[in-house]
Amino acid sequence: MTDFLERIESAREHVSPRWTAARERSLRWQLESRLERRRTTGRVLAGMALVVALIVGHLGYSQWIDGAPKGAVGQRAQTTKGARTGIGGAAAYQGAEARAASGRGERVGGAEAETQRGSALKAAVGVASVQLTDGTVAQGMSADAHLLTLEESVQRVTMRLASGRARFDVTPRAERTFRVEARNVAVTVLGTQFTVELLADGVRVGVERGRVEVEWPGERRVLGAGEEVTAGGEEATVGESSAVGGGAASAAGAANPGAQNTAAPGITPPGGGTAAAGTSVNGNSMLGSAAASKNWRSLAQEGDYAGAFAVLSQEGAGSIRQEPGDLLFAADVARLSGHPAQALPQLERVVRSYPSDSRAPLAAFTLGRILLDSLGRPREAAEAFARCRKLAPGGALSQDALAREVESWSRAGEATLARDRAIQYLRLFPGGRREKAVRYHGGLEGTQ
Amino acid sequence: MQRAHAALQVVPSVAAPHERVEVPPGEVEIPSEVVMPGEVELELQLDFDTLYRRYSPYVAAVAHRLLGQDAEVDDTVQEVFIAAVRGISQLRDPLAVKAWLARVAVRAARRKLRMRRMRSFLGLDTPAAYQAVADDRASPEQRALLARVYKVLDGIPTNQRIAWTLRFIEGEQLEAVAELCGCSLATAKRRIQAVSRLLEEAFAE
Repeated sequence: MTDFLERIESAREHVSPRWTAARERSLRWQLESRLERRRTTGRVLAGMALVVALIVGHLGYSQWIDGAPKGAVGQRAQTTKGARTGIGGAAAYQGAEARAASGRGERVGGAEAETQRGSALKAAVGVASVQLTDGTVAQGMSADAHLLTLEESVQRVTMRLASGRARFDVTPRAERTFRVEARNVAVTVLGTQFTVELLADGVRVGVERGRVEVEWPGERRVLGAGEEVTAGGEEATVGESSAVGGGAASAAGAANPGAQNTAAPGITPPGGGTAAAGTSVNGNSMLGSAAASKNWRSLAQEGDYAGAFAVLSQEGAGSIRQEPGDLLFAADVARLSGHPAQALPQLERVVRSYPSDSRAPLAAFTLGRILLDSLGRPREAAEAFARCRKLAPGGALSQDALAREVESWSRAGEATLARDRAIQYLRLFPGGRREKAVRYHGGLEGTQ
Repeated sequence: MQRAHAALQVVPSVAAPHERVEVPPGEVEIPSEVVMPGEVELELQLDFDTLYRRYSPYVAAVAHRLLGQDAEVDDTVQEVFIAAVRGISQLRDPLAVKAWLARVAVRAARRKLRMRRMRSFLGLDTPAAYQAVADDRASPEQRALLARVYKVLDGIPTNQRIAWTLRFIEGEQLEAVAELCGCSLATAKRRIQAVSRLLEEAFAE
């Protein structure tokens, strides 16, 4: 290398922009504005194209509909002021004229009133879908799928599944709430792909990717990828609780899983209602009189985690022995019955009160997983994974705990911490099984 | 949960109660969610916020090194991430995000450099702040060196400049330079050598 190139080599690290957090934020805002302007321009152009298409096709379309047999396949979209649904891709509805399906003798059931204030998409034969202007797709998955867009704005999109089954592929946007209502169940999207299905005895929500929050009277739950819940069996209006007495307590417990009460952390006190009264998780049987006679440990050992959780909730945390094994068992019952938040206090107690127990690192690791994967609390998850390593520095979990700590810091937006931990991982575990993920989350792709 | 891997000398997991055993001191139960050797658990979420937060500093750095002027960096970063909104979903390998963004940044910088040369040719360019190429940590000698290098680079054809900058300022290997420039390895070498000769002549005076 020549002398000149050597001088360049020693100086090149100084060729860097003055990139501050404020500059990054400011540019992010400008970028969002620019993207929004593009979307608005796109909507305007799409609207103009729609008007032209309506003018050209109106008479012929009307004649075709009037001549079609009753009950023919066809979709009507009724738009009212302030409610609109984007057009795109596989959208199967056409036209913006107000023509209620009920006016043509078709039964729309409980959604009749909805058509007065929202756009309606009713799938007949085959699959129909609605695509919003940001790329979000709501797709009917059954012949009787009936989707309505109640509200669409920059801040909020609300849709209603009046019947059937639909799949939602939602473009994540931090500043916008995406919500799907089905009977008395509301699904709030945290960025994901999920299905909602109306059943005879409830509403089933399944998550394929990402996370959603599912809420029904007296209960609220966050589902991660691969998880599903069947809830809200009664046709009650939102706000009524089918649970007795403790509906508000269990909802509060779900919303604030770290809350302590005099009986025990995280478990609804005896006498309080639980979601089990109207809920089944992953097809497990609901609590019946026979199950009530068994204690929660027996039910869990039989694999009936939902029943075990219901009994445990009724008996209260006083029925949990204050020793690591039973605390972990109770945490497993909560977690495997679809109540991950209720597992946190037991796990934290093991880590805090029994740090020298050989199971404490496992408790910390499980705590981290719940916080990161089920509850979307990456910062706390990172601290839990760090604690796991601290409890057992050379233990069997230390490699995975460090890898997941990298991921957690990355998701918490702490790029520097993620990178530091990633470098630590690569140093401690060269060629480790998590190297690929660690490099990605730590921003070290392409480096040696 | 599944039974944990035997190679780790573990006992059955907590969630298999019919096989539950008391954990003797010194042994640890391993949940099967822990990735076993040979498996890779990789959950990638390429949402825009994560993409921007993670890679905007990198894109800004690449843009600055290619352009040599801080005033054009913000616009280049915006162009790259606007392209990312449209094109990132077509990326087959999520781990190639960084390289993809770099290629987009190179294309955006190339457009800006060509516009700059045109403005200069027409006498419409604005005076460049070459002393601002280096950051505050540079020594006066390094700052002067880099200022002079970028002044010379402004007079060099765009494709040659980009290749040389990627090689000796960004520190990329030749193969990566060729890929980022969208040219063959031989072409990349030729461009780099041409600029190296010019710079060595300029600094030999």
